[in-house]
Amino acid sequence: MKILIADDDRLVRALLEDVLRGLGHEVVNAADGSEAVDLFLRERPDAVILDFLMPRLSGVDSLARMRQSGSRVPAVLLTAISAPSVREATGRDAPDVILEKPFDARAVSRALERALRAP
Amino acid sequence: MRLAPKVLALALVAAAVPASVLGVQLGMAGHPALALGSGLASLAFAALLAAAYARGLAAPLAELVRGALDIARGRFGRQVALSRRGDVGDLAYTFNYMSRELARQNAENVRLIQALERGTLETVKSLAGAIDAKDPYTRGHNGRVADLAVEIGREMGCEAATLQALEYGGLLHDVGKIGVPEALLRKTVPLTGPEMSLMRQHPAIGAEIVREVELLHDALPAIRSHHERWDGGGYPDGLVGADIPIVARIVNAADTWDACTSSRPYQPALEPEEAVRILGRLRGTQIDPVVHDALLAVLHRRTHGAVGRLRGAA
Repeated sequence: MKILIADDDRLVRALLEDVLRGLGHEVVNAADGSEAVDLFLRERPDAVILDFLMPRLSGVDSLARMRQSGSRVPAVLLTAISAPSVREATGRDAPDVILEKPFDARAVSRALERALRAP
Repeated sequence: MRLAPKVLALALVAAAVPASVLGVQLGMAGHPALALGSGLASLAFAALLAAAYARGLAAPLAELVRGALDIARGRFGRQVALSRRGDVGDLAYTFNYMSRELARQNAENVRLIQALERGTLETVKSLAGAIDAKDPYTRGHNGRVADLAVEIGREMGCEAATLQALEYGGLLHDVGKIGVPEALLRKTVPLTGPEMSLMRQHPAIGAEIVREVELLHDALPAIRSHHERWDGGGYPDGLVGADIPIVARIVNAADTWDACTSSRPYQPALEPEEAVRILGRLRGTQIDPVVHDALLAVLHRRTHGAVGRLRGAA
């Protein structure tokens, strides 16, 4: 499966990439929201993992643009603040799963599975 | 912050209710002193807890208020200290993100404006270069007139928009020469009557060329009126004195100075002293006396440096 990851923190990207490749996925990554949207339109990944607060475009806004393109892509939103705060702020453009930082490898694979199962 | 007393009052009420219920029960059981004591103790405990909580809430919010005010003052990128977890911590974290994004967007806008200004100047210079290509004797003339005009304007205390108009107007004052036959521009003998009237159309032609360019709107008078004379004997409109736009009066003086001090088909370059003498004779006839004096101050500064001028002023 092809997964798009976007986070301005290089270490988070490296960690996610390791975990996802370990699970047998193909990974494309972006360092900010607007790069993520570009990459999404070009690569058409099967799922996306986006950081909530990224430069240029937040994860929520990136996701809204991705879904505007007609694809209801499964999405995990990473956040350094609490999930309920994010849930309340996102409203209609809510991601399928919100994953609080810091997280471990198991949490990533569980979150991805839940996102892929979401309607 | 008004939050602290409210939280305090609320906690006291919340503590008072169970405390009094307990007090009534103990009182009925025959221990009135114990009832009063435990009631007061629980009230005091509640007050302490509430005060600590209110302080913990009020201090980060005050920091956020200060941060918001700093951002409103233009200090984009201002970060607040993240001391608290929970809702207020989430707010502070997001606040810092917002502040960084504002800084980034502001920097991007500044970069775009600078690129636009540079692009404009380059476009104007390339247009001025078209005149240079046609009239090699005046090569570099437009740039020198623009520089000198801006210096005169600064000497006179003109505002930024006027200085901008002087730069563009200086560069483009002769743009109408594109509409004058090359043979006339290169002629070394005096022009005949009809030739002279053709040559004298260049300010009006120039003004017509840039008329629709919004950006050059303020420079337009410098192009159209740079051959007007203070005494009213100039062209194309025969304007007199202060009726001549200030940018045109300044470009006229700078143009005259540069024409005297650079070589032309019809005359060799004059020595600066000789050019100053000629300018003195034109003071009040062709050149606005105030502009003339500002030009002399600029020339003095150019030859003697800023220190000499300061000493002269003192």
